[in-house]
Amino acid sequence: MPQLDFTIAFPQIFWLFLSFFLLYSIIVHVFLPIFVKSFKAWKKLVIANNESFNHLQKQLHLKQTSLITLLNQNIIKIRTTFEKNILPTFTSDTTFDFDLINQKLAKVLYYNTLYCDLNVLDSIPLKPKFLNLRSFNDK
Amino acid sequence: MVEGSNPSSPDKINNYTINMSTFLISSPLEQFEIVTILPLTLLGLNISLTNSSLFLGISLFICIFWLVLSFYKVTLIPSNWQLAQETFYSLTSNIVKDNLGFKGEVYFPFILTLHSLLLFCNLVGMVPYSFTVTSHIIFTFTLALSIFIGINIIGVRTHGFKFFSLFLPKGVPLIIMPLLVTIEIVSYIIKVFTLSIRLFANMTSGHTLLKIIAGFSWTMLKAGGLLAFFHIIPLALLLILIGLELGIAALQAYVFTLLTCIYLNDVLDMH
Repeated sequence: MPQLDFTIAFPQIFWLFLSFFLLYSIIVHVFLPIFVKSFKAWKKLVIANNESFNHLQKQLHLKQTSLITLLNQNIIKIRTTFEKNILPTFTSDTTFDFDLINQKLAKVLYYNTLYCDLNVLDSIPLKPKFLNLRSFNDK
Repeated sequence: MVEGSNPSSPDKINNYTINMSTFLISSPLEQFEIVTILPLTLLGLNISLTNSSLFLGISLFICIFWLVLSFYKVTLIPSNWQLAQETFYSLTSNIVKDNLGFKGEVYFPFILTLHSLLLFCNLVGMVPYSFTVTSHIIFTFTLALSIFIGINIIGVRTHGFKFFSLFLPKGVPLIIMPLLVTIEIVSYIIKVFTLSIRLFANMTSGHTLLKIIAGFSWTMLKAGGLLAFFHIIPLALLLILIGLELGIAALQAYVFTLLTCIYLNDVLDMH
C-alpha cells in the first residue's frame, strides 16, 4: 500500500502546514472582512426594509382613520341637512305627491325581486363576444 | 549457454506475461503512489514537490479562485457563486454556532479554513487522473494530530489543572476509578486515530472501488463480442458510484469539521 510508505512523510507534512497557513492567512485577512461586510449589508437592508414597511403601515393607518372620520362627519352633515331642510319641506307641503314615490319604489322592488332569482339568472344565456369567433371572423 | 538466458525459456515468457498484464491492468492502489516531481531540500530536510503537494496546491488555488470569483462583484442581490459561497459560509458558521456557541467565534476562521481545504482536496481528487491528497494517512493523521494538540493546549489554557478532570466523570466509586480513567484516556487519545482513519479510509476505499469497476468495464470492452456490449452495466454502476463518491467527498469534509468542533467543545465546556 503506497500510503504506508513513510519515507515520503516529511514533504507531505511540510506542504500541508504551508498550504493550511497560507489559506488561513488569506481567509482571515482578505475574505472574512468581505463576508462580514456582505452579511452586515444584508442585515442593514432587512432593517431598512422593516422600517420603511412600518412607516408605510403607520401612514396608511392614519389615512384610513382620517377617511373614516371625514366620512362620519359628512354623513352627520347629510343627516342634519336632511332633518333640518328636506324633511320639513315634505311634511309641511301637503300637495307633495307621495304616491308617485311609493309607486316607483314598488317598481324597483318588484324588478329586483324578479331578476334576483337565481333560476331566472341561470336561464339567461350569456354569450361573451370573444367566444363568438365564427360571427367575429365572418365580419 | 547460461541457464535462463534463453529468450524463449518458460521463466522469461512467464515474466513477460506478468509484466504485460501489470502494464495493461494496473493495480487499483497505483493511483495513490507518490511521485517526486521536483526534488527540493531545505536545511537538509526533504521538502520535494510531489504529485501530492502539487494537487494540494491546485486544490488551494481552486479554493481561493472560487472565493475570489464569489466576491468579484459583491451585490445586495447575490450572484449564483456568491450565494453558493454564502451558503457554505452559513453551513460552517452553523456548525460552530451549534457546537461551540458564541465562545467558538474565535475559532471560526480556523474551522472555515479546515472545511474548505478538505472539501476542495476531496473534490479535486474526484477528477479523473488527478490525485486525492486526503487518501494518505500521513496527511489526515498530521491534520488530526495538530488539531488534537491544539485542542489540548486550548483546554489547559482555559481550565488549567482542572482540565484533567475530563478523564474522571463525577460520582465514580473509588474502586473502579483507575479502570475508568484508563478507559477515558484511551478513548480520548483514540479520537486522533478515528478522525484521521475515517477520512483516509473513506477516500481510499472509494477511489479503489471506482478504479476496480472502471478496470472491470475496460476488460469487458476489450474481450469483444457480447461481453463488450454488456460493459455498459459496470459503466452505469461506475457513474452511480461517482455520484456517491462526490457525496462522500463533501460529507467527509463536513464530518471532519463537525467532529473537530465537537472535540473542541468537549474541552471548552467541561462537566
